[in-house]
Amino acid sequence: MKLNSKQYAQSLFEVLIESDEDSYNEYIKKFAKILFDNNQTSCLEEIVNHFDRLWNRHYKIVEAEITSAQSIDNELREDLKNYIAKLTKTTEVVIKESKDENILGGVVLKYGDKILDQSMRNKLNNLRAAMVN
Amino acid sequence: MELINALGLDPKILIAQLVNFAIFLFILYRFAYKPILKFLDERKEKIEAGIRNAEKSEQRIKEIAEKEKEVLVKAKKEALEIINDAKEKAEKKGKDMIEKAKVDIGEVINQEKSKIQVEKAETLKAIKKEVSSLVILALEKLLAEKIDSEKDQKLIEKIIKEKS
Repeated sequence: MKLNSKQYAQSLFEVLIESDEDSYNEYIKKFAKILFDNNQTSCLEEIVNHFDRLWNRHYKIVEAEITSAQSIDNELREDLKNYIAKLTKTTEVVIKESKDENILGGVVLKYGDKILDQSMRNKLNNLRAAMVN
Repeated sequence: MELINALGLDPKILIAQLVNFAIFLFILYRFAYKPILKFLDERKEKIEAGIRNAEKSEQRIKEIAEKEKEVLVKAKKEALEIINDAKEKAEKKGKDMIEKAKVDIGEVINQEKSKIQVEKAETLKAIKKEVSSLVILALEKLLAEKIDSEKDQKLIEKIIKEKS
Protein backbone atom coordinates (compact mmCIF):
# COMPACT_ATOMS: atom_id res chain seq x y z
CA MET A 1 0.00 0.00 0.00
CA LYS A 2 1.41 3.36 -0.99
CA LEU A 3 1.41 6.22 1.51
CA ASN A 4 0.30 9.77 0.71
CA SER A 5 2.48 12.88 1.13
CA LYS A 6 1.14 13.65 4.59
CA GLN A 7 1.77 10.10 5.83
CA TYR A 8 5.32 10.13 4.39
CA ALA A 9 6.06 13.46 6.10
CA GLN A 10 4.62 12.21 9.39
CA SER A 11 6.69 8.99 9.23
CA LEU A 12 9.93 10.83 8.42
CA PHE A 13 9.26 13.35 11.17
CA GLU A 14 8.63 10.64 13.78
CA VAL A 15 11.83 8.83 12.80
CA LEU A 16 14.02 11.93 12.81
CA ILE A 17 12.62 13.32 16.04
CA GLU A 18 13.60 10.19 17.91
CA SER A 19 17.09 9.88 16.42
CA ASP A 20 20.24 11.95 16.88
CA GLU A 21 21.41 14.50 14.34
CA ASP A 22 24.30 12.29 13.13
CA SER A 23 21.95 9.70 11.77
CA TYR A 24 19.70 12.21 9.94
CA ASN A 25 21.58 11.79 6.64
CA GLU A 26 21.28 8.03 6.77
CA TYR A 27 17.51 8.14 7.41
CA ILE A 28 16.98 10.73 4.72
CA LYS A 29 18.85 8.60 2.19
CA LYS A 30 16.71 5.60 3.13
CA PHE A 31 13.60 7.71 2.83
CA ALA A 32 14.64 8.92 -0.62
CA LYS A 33 15.21 5.33 -1.71
CA ILE A 34 11.74 4.31 -0.55
CA LEU A 35 10.24 7.19 -2.50
CA PHE A 36 12.25 6.24 -5.55
CA ASP A 37 11.30 2.54 -5.26
CA ASN A 38 7.64 3.47 -4.88
CA ASN A 39 7.95 5.80 -7.85
CA GLN A 40 6.64 8.74 -5.76
CA THR A 41 9.45 11.26 -6.17
CA SER A 42 6.91 13.68 -7.69
CA CYS A 43 5.39 14.03 -4.21
CA LEU A 44 8.64 15.29 -2.76
CA GLU A 45 7.67 18.96 -2.70
CA GLU A 46 4.41 18.25 -0.88
CA ILE A 47 6.19 15.95 1.56
CA VAL A 48 8.79 18.61 2.33
CA ASN A 49 6.05 21.18 2.94
CA HIS A 50 4.19 18.88 5.33
CA PHE A 51 7.45 17.95 7.03
CA ASP A 52 8.37 21.63 7.48
CA ARG A 53 5.05 22.32 9.13
CA LEU A 54 5.47 19.37 11.53
CA TRP A 55 9.07 20.25 12.32
CA ASN A 56 8.35 23.94 12.86
CA ARG A 57 5.37 23.18 15.04
CA HIS A 58 7.43 20.79 17.15
CA TYR A 59 10.35 23.17 17.64
CA LYS A 60 8.15 26.27 17.72
CA ILE A 61 9.77 27.70 14.65
CA VAL A 62 7.93 30.23 12.52
CA GLU A 63 8.72 31.00 8.92
CA ALA A 64 7.98 34.57 8.08
CA GLU A 65 8.21 36.70 4.99
CA ILE A 66 9.08 40.36 5.36
CA THR A 67 8.23 42.60 2.42
CA SER A 68 9.46 46.19 2.41
CA ALA A 69 9.92 48.93 -0.14
CA GLN A 70 13.55 49.57 0.89
CA SER A 71 16.30 47.30 2.24
CA ILE A 72 16.25 46.93 6.01
CA ASP A 73 19.29 46.93 8.29
CA ASN A 74 20.25 44.17 10.73
CA GLU A 75 18.96 45.93 13.79
CA LEU A 76 15.54 46.41 12.27
CA ARG A 77 15.60 42.83 10.99
CA GLU A 78 16.18 41.60 14.54
CA ASP A 79 13.45 43.87 15.84
CA LEU A 80 11.06 42.44 13.28
CA LYS A 81 12.06 38.86 14.17
CA ASN A 82 11.46 39.57 17.86
CA TYR A 83 8.17 41.20 17.02
CA ILE A 84 7.03 38.16 15.02
CA ALA A 85 8.24 35.81 17.77
CA LYS A 86 6.15 37.78 20.23
CA LEU A 87 3.13 37.70 17.97
CA THR A 88 3.39 33.98 17.32
CA LYS A 89 4.60 33.08 20.84
CA THR A 90 7.54 31.15 19.39
CA THR A 91 11.24 31.12 20.11
CA GLU A 92 12.69 30.98 16.64
CA VAL A 93 11.70 32.93 13.57
CA VAL A 94 13.10 32.12 10.17
CA ILE A 95 12.68 35.05 7.85
CA LYS A 96 12.63 35.51 4.16
CA GLU A 97 12.98 39.03 2.86
CA SER A 98 11.62 40.54 -0.31
CA LYS A 99 11.54 44.02 -1.77
CA ASP A 100 8.49 45.54 -3.38
CA GLU A 101 8.64 49.25 -4.20
CA ASN A 102 4.95 49.20 -4.95
CA ILE A 103 4.14 49.09 -1.25
CA LEU A 104 5.75 52.59 -1.01
CA GLY A 105 6.80 52.22 2.62
CA GLY A 106 6.19 50.32 5.83
CA VAL A 107 6.20 46.56 5.95
CA VAL A 108 4.11 43.49 5.13
CA LEU A 109 4.60 40.49 7.39
CA LYS A 110 3.45 37.02 6.39
CA TYR A 111 3.70 34.24 8.94
CA GLY A 112 1.82 31.00 9.20
CA ASP A 113 -1.49 31.66 7.52
CA LYS A 114 -1.57 35.31 8.60
CA ILE A 115 -0.71 38.55 6.82
CA LEU A 116 -0.03 41.74 8.72
CA ASP A 117 -0.08 44.50 6.16
CA GLN A 118 1.39 47.69 7.60
CA SER A 119 2.43 49.12 4.26
CA MET A 120 1.76 52.63 3.04
CA ARG A 121 0.04 51.06 0.03
CA ASN A 122 -2.45 49.35 2.35
CA LYS A 123 -3.00 52.60 4.24
CA LEU A 124 -3.64 54.39 0.97
CA ASN A 125 -6.06 51.67 -0.09
CA ASN A 126 -7.91 52.01 3.22
CA LEU A 127 -7.99 55.76 2.76
CA ARG A 128 -9.37 55.34 -0.75
CA ALA A 129 -12.09 52.97 0.52
CA ALA A 130 -12.98 55.40 3.31
CA MET A 131 -13.17 58.31 0.89
CA VAL A 132 -15.37 56.45 -1.59
CA ASN A 133 -17.74 55.14 1.06
CA MET B 1 -182.81 37.44 -17.35
CA GLU B 2 -185.32 40.09 -17.07
CA LEU B 3 -182.60 42.56 -16.59
CA ILE B 4 -180.77 41.32 -19.71
CA ASN B 5 -183.99 41.51 -21.53
CA ALA B 6 -184.69 44.93 -20.09
CA LEU B 7 -181.36 46.09 -21.41
CA GLY B 8 -182.25 44.81 -24.78
CA LEU B 9 -179.56 42.20 -24.86
CA ASP B 10 -179.88 38.88 -26.41
CA PRO B 11 -178.42 36.22 -24.01
CA LYS B 12 -177.29 34.08 -26.83
CA ILE B 13 -175.50 36.87 -28.47
CA LEU B 14 -174.12 37.81 -25.14
CA ILE B 15 -172.81 34.32 -24.53
CA ALA B 16 -171.42 34.22 -28.02
CA GLN B 17 -169.77 37.56 -27.44
CA LEU B 18 -168.40 36.28 -24.14
CA VAL B 19 -167.04 33.20 -25.82
CA ASN B 20 -165.63 35.39 -28.53
CA PHE B 21 -164.12 37.62 -25.95
CA ALA B 22 -162.65 34.65 -24.11
CA ILE B 23 -161.20 33.34 -27.33
CA PHE B 24 -159.89 36.80 -28.10
CA LEU B 25 -158.35 37.00 -24.63
CA PHE B 26 -156.80 33.56 -25.01
CA ILE B 27 -155.35 34.47 -28.40
CA LEU B 28 -154.19 37.80 -27.09
CA TYR B 29 -152.56 36.18 -24.08
CA ARG B 30 -151.07 33.37 -26.10
CA PHE B 31 -149.68 35.23 -29.06
CA ALA B 32 -149.22 38.84 -27.96
CA TYR B 33 -149.18 39.41 -24.22
CA LYS B 34 -146.85 36.48 -23.38
CA PRO B 35 -144.18 37.26 -25.99
CA ILE B 36 -144.37 40.95 -25.07
CA LEU B 37 -143.89 40.11 -21.40
CA LYS B 38 -141.11 37.71 -22.29
CA PHE B 39 -139.54 40.38 -24.45
CA LEU B 40 -139.91 42.93 -21.67
CA ASP B 41 -138.39 40.53 -19.11
CA GLU B 42 -135.49 39.81 -21.41
CA ARG B 43 -135.11 43.49 -22.09
CA LYS B 44 -135.19 44.19 -18.36
CA GLU B 45 -132.67 41.44 -17.73
CA LYS B 46 -130.43 42.83 -20.46
CA ILE B 47 -130.65 46.35 -19.05
CA GLU B 48 -129.94 45.09 -15.56
CA ALA B 49 -126.98 43.05 -16.88
CA GLY B 50 -125.84 46.14 -18.78
CA ILE B 51 -126.07 48.20 -15.61
CA ARG B 52 -124.20 45.50 -13.66
CA ASN B 53 -121.55 45.33 -16.38
CA ALA B 54 -121.29 49.08 -16.43
CA GLU B 55 -120.84 49.11 -12.65
CA LYS B 56 -118.30 46.31 -12.91
CA SER B 57 -116.53 48.14 -15.70
CA GLU B 58 -116.55 51.32 -13.68
CA GLN B 59 -115.15 49.41 -10.70
CA ARG B 60 -112.60 47.74 -12.96
CA ILE B 61 -111.64 51.09 -14.47
CA LYS B 62 -111.20 52.47 -10.95
CA GLU B 63 -109.08 49.46 -9.97
CA ILE B 64 -107.02 49.76 -13.12
CA ALA B 65 -106.56 53.47 -12.51
CA GLU B 66 -105.47 52.78 -8.95
CA LYS B 67 -103.21 50.00 -10.10
CA GLU B 68 -101.81 52.28 -12.77
CA LYS B 69 -101.27 54.90 -10.14
CA GLU B 70 -99.54 52.36 -7.92
CA VAL B 71 -97.43 51.09 -10.80
CA LEU B 72 -96.58 54.65 -11.72
CA VAL B 73 -95.57 55.47 -8.15
CA LYS B 74 -93.59 52.25 -7.92
CA ALA B 75 -91.95 52.90 -11.29
CA LYS B 76 -91.19 56.46 -10.22
CA LYS B 77 -89.69 55.18 -6.97
CA GLU B 78 -87.67 52.54 -8.79
CA ALA B 79 -86.52 55.06 -11.38
CA LEU B 80 -85.51 57.40 -8.57
CA GLU B 81 -83.65 54.56 -6.85
CA ILE B 82 -81.94 53.64 -10.11
CA ILE B 83 -80.98 57.25 -10.69
CA ASN B 84 -79.71 57.63 -7.13
CA ASP B 85 -77.87 54.32 -7.34
CA ALA B 86 -76.31 55.31 -10.66
CA LYS B 87 -75.44 58.70 -9.21
CA GLU B 88 -73.84 57.09 -6.16
CA LYS B 89 -71.97 54.60 -8.33
CA ALA B 90 -70.79 57.37 -10.63
CA GLU B 91 -69.67 59.44 -7.65
CA LYS B 92 -67.90 56.43 -6.13
CA LYS B 93 -66.30 55.61 -9.43
CA GLY B 94 -65.25 59.21 -9.81
CA LYS B 95 -63.78 59.22 -6.30
CA ASP B 96 -62.05 55.88 -6.91
CA MET B 97 -60.60 57.18 -10.15
CA ILE B 98 -59.34 60.31 -8.40
CA GLU B 99 -57.85 58.19 -5.58
CA LYS B 100 -56.23 55.83 -8.06
CA ALA B 101 -54.89 58.75 -10.03
CA LYS B 102 -53.51 60.22 -6.79
CA VAL B 103 -51.87 56.90 -5.89
CA ASP B 104 -50.48 56.52 -9.40
CA ILE B 105 -49.12 60.04 -9.38
CA GLY B 106 -47.63 59.40 -5.92
CA GLU B 107 -45.97 56.24 -7.17
CA VAL B 108 -44.58 57.99 -10.22
CA ILE B 109 -43.27 60.81 -8.02
CA ASN B 110 -41.70 58.32 -5.60
CA GLN B 111 -40.15 56.35 -8.45
CA GLU B 112 -38.75 59.53 -9.94
CA LYS B 113 -37.49 60.60 -6.52
CA SER B 114 -35.81 57.22 -6.01
CA LYS B 115 -34.36 57.43 -9.49
CA ILE B 116 -33.01 60.91 -8.82
CA GLN B 117 -31.59 59.76 -5.47
CA VAL B 118 -29.92 56.74 -7.08
CA GLU B 119 -28.51 58.93 -9.84
CA LYS B 120 -27.38 61.47 -7.26
CA ALA B 121 -25.73 58.75 -5.18
CA GLU B 122 -24.05 57.31 -8.27
CA THR B 123 -22.82 60.73 -9.33
CA LEU B 124 -21.57 61.42 -5.81
CA LYS B 125 -19.86 58.04 -5.72
CA ALA B 126 -18.23 58.69 -9.09
CA ILE B 127 -17.05 62.11 -7.90
CA LYS B 128 -15.74 60.62 -4.65
CA LYS B 129 -13.98 57.89 -6.61
CA GLU B 130 -12.44 60.43 -8.93
CA VAL B 131 -11.38 62.72 -6.09
CA SER B 132 -10.03 59.81 -4.05
CA SER B 133 -8.05 58.56 -7.07
CA LEU B 134 -6.54 62.01 -7.51
CA VAL B 135 -5.73 62.31 -3.80
CA ILE B 136 -4.23 58.81 -3.69
CA LEU B 137 -2.23 59.50 -6.81
CA ALA B 138 -0.86 62.71 -5.33
CA LEU B 139 -0.07 60.96 -2.04
CA GLU B 140 1.63 58.08 -3.85
CA LYS B 141 3.81 60.54 -5.71
CA LEU B 142 4.57 62.46 -2.53
CA LEU B 143 5.38 59.29 -0.55
CA ALA B 144 7.57 57.94 -3.36
CA GLU B 145 9.52 61.18 -3.33
CA LYS B 146 9.70 61.72 0.42
CA ILE B 147 10.19 58.25 1.88
CA ASP B 148 13.83 57.27 1.62
CA SER B 149 15.48 54.26 3.21
CA GLU B 150 16.11 55.96 6.53
CA LYS B 151 12.56 57.27 6.85
CA ASP B 152 11.18 53.89 5.89
CA GLN B 153 13.24 52.16 8.61
CA LYS B 154 12.00 54.68 11.17
CA LEU B 155 8.45 54.13 9.98
CA ILE B 156 8.76 50.36 10.40
CA GLU B 157 10.32 50.82 13.86
CA LYS B 158 7.40 53.05 14.79
CA ILE B 159 4.94 50.42 13.57
CA ILE B 160 6.64 47.75 15.69
CA LYS B 161 6.58 49.99 18.76
CA GLU B 162 2.93 50.88 18.26
CA LYS B 163 1.90 47.26 17.79
CA SER B 164 4.04 45.83 20.58
